[in-house]
Amino acid sequence: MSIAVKNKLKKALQMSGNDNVAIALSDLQQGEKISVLTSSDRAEVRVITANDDISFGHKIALENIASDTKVVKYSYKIGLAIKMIHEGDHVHVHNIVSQYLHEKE
Amino acid sequence: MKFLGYQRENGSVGIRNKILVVALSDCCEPIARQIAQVADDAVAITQHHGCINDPIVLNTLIGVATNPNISSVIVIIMGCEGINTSEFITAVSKSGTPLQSIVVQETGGTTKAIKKGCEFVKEFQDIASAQTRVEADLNKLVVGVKCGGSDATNGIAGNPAVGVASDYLIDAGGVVILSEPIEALGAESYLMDRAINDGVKKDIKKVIMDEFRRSNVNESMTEVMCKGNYLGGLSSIEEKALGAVLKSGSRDILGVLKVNSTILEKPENNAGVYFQDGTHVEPMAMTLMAAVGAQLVVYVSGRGGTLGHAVVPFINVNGNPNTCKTMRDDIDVCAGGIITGTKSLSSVGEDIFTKIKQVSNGEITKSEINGYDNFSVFTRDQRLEDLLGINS
Repeated sequence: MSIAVKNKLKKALQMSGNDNVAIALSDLQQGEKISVLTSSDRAEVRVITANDDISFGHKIALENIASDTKVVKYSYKIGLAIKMIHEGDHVHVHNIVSQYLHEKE
Repeated sequence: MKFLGYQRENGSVGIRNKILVVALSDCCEPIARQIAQVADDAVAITQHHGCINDPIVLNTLIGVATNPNISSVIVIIMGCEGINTSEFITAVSKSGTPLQSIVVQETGGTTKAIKKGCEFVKEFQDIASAQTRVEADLNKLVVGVKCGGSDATNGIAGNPAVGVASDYLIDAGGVVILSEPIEALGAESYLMDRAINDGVKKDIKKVIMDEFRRSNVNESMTEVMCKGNYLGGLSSIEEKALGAVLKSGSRDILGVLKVNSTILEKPENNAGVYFQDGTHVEPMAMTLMAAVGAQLVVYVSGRGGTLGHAVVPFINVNGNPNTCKTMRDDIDVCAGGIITGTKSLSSVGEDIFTKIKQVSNGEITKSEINGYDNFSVFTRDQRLEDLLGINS
């Protein structure tokens, strides 16, 4: 067991090193500093500030994601940004779209 | 790495030593159940698709009866069913599993059939008690992975942790079976990227797309994304599917196991992942895994699913720290530490792998303690297959 981070900040989990989103491990408040950890060994990747209230299990952007570019979780594309997403933004159906169902339509 | 199991004649190794009482059609089920009641190590199963000769049903029952966890088989036959009873008897006998059969109409009715069945149980208990656990290599283990009762923790904690355990098992020589073709919809690339060759890649795509076509007749797609998924933070079907198939780990996918009216394909004895066609419905999916030789199923839940299986022990993993507390009597491994920050993914993965080895050595799971013996048989409506032109 390696628990590398001892600070009191709330946590978000980056599931894979290539991901541009992380998952909130508790409810995050707008303006709050968040510690982003790797899921494999919980090492702190960096600290970012939440731009929105983000519920447990929801996603926070780890970098700016331009419109029409890939949102990546588990190293794989989970959708496309439909508007400019900034680092710290809540990432969900209001700013990304499923490429899969999109293609089927 | 080794475990202690029951060596079978055909080379496979069981982790339980059960007497299977199988009613080939459900009219005989109460007889089978009453026979199985007389012994702790006896279990009754049947199928509920009528007594016509459905090859998927027949092959599944043959597969389950020859599962390594089965020490002997008592088959209950009414005497007028359409299901091919002699094919069942021949196939099971050929596997080397001791078998006795009772034809109710010839035996003289229910009471006599039950009495005869109980005598067979005694006879088979003697055989079973003479069989002892012997050391076997972990490369004899075939483990099915399944999820259900999902919440936001499944894709972050439970499934990735089982994925780590799947990798450990495969690195030790074992086989992992992933099922749920419809739930893989959206994660095709992740699975196809892991295929060992182009043929397997093509097969993975076909299985998922065929299931998509069946589920989407008249655009009735109902089981893909629900409101709760969105509320929980999942934004797309890709995200949900990736979170689900993660439980199969990251190792190579060696093949697709076909389930159709001519074949119920079994994994070869090579370390790696096999993707099984069939269904996402838990008891049926577990039965299909058991029918191709899985000795054990690892299940992941968040909300707290309680299930089990008549033939394969069921390890219940839960990723929600709250559910781990409220339903602790049902949960074997808590992955909730990944959420609360007390445990890393790798350490929970190790916990699950350890539990797999302990249960293989004979440790009883929560689901076994609680008396879960779910059993249900999957089949396909051949008319739908024909209408859609699906040749699976």
